Amino acid sequence: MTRCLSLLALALLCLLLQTAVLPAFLPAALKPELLLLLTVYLMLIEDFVRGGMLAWSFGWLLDVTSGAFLGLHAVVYLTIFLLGRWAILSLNGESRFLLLVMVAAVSFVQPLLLLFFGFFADLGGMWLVVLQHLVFQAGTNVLCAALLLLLVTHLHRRYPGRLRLPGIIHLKSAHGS
Amino acid sequence: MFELLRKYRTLFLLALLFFVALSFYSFQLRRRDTTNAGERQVLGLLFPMQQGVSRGSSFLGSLFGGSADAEEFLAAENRRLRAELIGQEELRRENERLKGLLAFRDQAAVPTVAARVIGVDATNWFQTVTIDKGSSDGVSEGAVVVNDQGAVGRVVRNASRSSRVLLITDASSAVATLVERTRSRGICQGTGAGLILDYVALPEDVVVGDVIVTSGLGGIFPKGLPVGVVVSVVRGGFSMFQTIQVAPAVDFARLEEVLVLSGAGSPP
Repeated sequence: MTRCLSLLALALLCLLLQTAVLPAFLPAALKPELLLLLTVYLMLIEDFVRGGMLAWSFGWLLDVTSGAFLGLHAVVYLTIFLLGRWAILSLNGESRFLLLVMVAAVSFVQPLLLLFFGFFADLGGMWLVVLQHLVFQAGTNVLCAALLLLLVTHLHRRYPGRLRLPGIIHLKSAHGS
Repeated sequence: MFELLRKYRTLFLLALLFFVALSFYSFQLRRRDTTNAGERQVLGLLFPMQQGVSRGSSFLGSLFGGSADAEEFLAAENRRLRAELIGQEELRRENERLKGLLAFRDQAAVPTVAARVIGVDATNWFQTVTIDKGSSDGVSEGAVVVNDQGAVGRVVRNASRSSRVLLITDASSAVATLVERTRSRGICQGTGAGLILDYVALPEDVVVGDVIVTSGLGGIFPKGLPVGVVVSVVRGGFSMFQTIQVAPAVDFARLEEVLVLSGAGSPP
């Protein structure tokens, strides 16, 4: 329960960063999707049911600050989590490289799912926006994930035993394939 | 039956969760122009933080934005004077923008509420902004948002002290417009960064540089608001209509202050 609440608080913090803090310092098109990265992290640490509910909540929170269709991101995030959680069962989640590949894959799948579920909401020329931003957005997300992983591993080394992040404790470049 | 449910408990729960998520989405699609209590709570929770960050970042921007070189910046006295100067320059610019808004407000025949942009959309897929005025300031869902340059968008969600505005450049936005010079009608649809003028028949006379304004049809935007300028016209192929690209009149990358026309527009 504490972990769930901590993750929800972290999701709110990510939202604040995405909507107010980062846009003040980064170019307008550079918007790393921190909530999506948090959802990928969920795939490592949560089971299907609890993680699914958290991913839906993350999507719902994102709906409040993005777009005009409440529930759209929620369905997309839930679908992403279920697909990703299922895929990660057969992958080595402790490999940094695979985790980055996962972020890239999720970044490509998310807008496609937005288009699919957004079909019911009449999103108009959304596919144009997706085509314009797809590769750049995936690159931004992967870069942001790589920086966060570097930061986490650095903090692990600096404060051994004090910083415990479930799921990525053993995340080192030496691990995995 | 219970044995089966117990055996496939996780699968059953996941199917139920997915069904609930889809049902919620479907239910909300029918109520897309209203804000529910949960949304109000989250917007209300984010508002003080977004406002604080917005104020803090504009202060930092005014302090560091114009520093010419590092050496001068390191000199303490110079820094203080420079910050003061830059602060004054920022005030002058803000004054100019507000003067523009006031001039527009005098022209507008409907009651207006001045607001400041405190947040942008969390993703690149949609184009919305958050403003620091809500239902307690008289802002309602469907209200039209403009600035001195032209049409900005309309309010799609509102909490008591903040609102979210769907910009006209969003892919799900459509504005009934006409070409100012020839009065040809069309629909301006958002494409993320710009606009496309749709449904203008091939014989209609539209050239690069034509100004596009709102037509007042559709009942949302008042007539005559600048929307953009035609930047390219393509006729050809088998299409019945011209393909017209429009550059927005409003500089959305530098959107800071806006006016909400509280008397115009209403939730459809």
